[in-house]
Amino acid sequence: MKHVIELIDISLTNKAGVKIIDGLNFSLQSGKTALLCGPPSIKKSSLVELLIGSYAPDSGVVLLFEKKLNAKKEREVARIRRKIGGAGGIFSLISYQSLYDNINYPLILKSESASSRKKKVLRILADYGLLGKKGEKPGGLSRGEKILALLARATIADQPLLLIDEPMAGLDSDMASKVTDILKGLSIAGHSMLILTTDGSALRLPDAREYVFENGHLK
Amino acid sequence: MRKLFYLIYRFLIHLYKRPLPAIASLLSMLLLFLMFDLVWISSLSVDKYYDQVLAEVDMEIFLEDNLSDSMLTLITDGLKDLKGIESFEFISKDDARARLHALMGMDLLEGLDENPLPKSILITFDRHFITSRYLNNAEVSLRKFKGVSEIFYPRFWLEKAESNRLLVSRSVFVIGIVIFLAAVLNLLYSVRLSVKTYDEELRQHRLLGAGKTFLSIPFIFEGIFYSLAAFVVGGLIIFYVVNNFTIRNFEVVLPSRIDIISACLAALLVGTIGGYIGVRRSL
Repeated sequence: MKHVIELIDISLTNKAGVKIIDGLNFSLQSGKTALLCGPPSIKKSSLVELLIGSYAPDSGVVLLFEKKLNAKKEREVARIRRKIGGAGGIFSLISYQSLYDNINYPLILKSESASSRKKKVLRILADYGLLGKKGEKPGGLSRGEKILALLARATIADQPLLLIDEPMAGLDSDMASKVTDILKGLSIAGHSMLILTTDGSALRLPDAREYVFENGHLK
Repeated sequence: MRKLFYLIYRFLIHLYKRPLPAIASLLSMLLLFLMFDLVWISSLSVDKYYDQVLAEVDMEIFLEDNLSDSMLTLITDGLKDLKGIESFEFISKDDARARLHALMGMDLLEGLDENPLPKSILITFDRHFITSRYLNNAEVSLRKFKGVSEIFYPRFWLEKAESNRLLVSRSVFVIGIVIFLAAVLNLLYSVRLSVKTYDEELRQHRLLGAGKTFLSIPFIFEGIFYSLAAFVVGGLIIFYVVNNFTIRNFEVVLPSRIDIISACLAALLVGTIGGYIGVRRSL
């Protein structure tokens, strides 16, 4: 089975000179889900930034879709990012755009026709129970609705890899179960997912492998 | 094509969402281009004026009274060999007196026993040869002929006119460069301001996989729009003014069609450079 993510002996130091990832090895097979757990203080999102080429590791190799990612190559990074759907953390909704426009953007990057975009956006909004909010700005949405909207944007262009940061944070039990159901559905549909979370037990996903991120290593 | 439509739509959204900054950018560019248009038209008009005046410059060779016909033939043959002479006319002593009479409206020499006016040859030069350097060289070679007593042409006036024209063209060049730089900087900062407004959107779109070029294009369109629109509006204002105001004895010259097209392309270049630098330095 193909690997969508392979991190080989990755080390990363932040701007303050603190080593936040140290000799990390990790892989995620296509269609599988991995839960990366750890407290918020350990900067799990640096891993996301590494995977989307925001910066290059101090040492080690990042392989995405079995190709080495070179963070310095602008076009290559953009091309890889179009295959990744992000939700939460650094991925947020644009505050002054409507929900419709927010979700529409990945399809624009895929050069889809206006009619096809409209059909897909309306369908996903309906699937996620957000159709009535399509004209709303993110400021008018609840935390749960924002997560759903982000998941809709992350999957609308059939992105093969999803990077989801703290999907359950601040959700009430109803919304938490709705988000869990959607994530289960995505997992069953064969999406490869890397989910960063503080508490892995809150998410009960079938076949999800749980890792604990601690002191720059995975356990 | 779909992406192009989207980029044009984004550019229109930029203008629609920030109408006041857009108008401010447009007005400041308009002022710059109006200034340039005025300098440009002034320079063309001054140039035309000098051209008209210079076309009237001629040279007169005064001949000795005792000049024989054979010597006169030698001089006229010499004139035929000289480049740039459009025509020349021999003026006898009597012709000179008649011309003076016509000029003054009365015969000033009446009562004199002898006509003191010299014989002369009046030379008209082709316009392109009327330069102080060429006429000076022509004077030097004509002075070599025997029987030439004096040569007159408005040398000092011509030199002054030439230096004035040079000054005007250099001023236009310097002002043009200053306006070009001011326009580029103006656009650069207008576009940077626009980029700052859309900072959040640009950051998210980059995370979603939009390339720098794709994100830059609406802002470059913005720069091009400010520049071209200001140039066209400025041109129309100047055209209206020139066509509705007349100044006596002075023709206001408008640029030729090719010059206008070149200037349009220059405005396009200004917009592209300003927009490109503005957005690329901010992304």
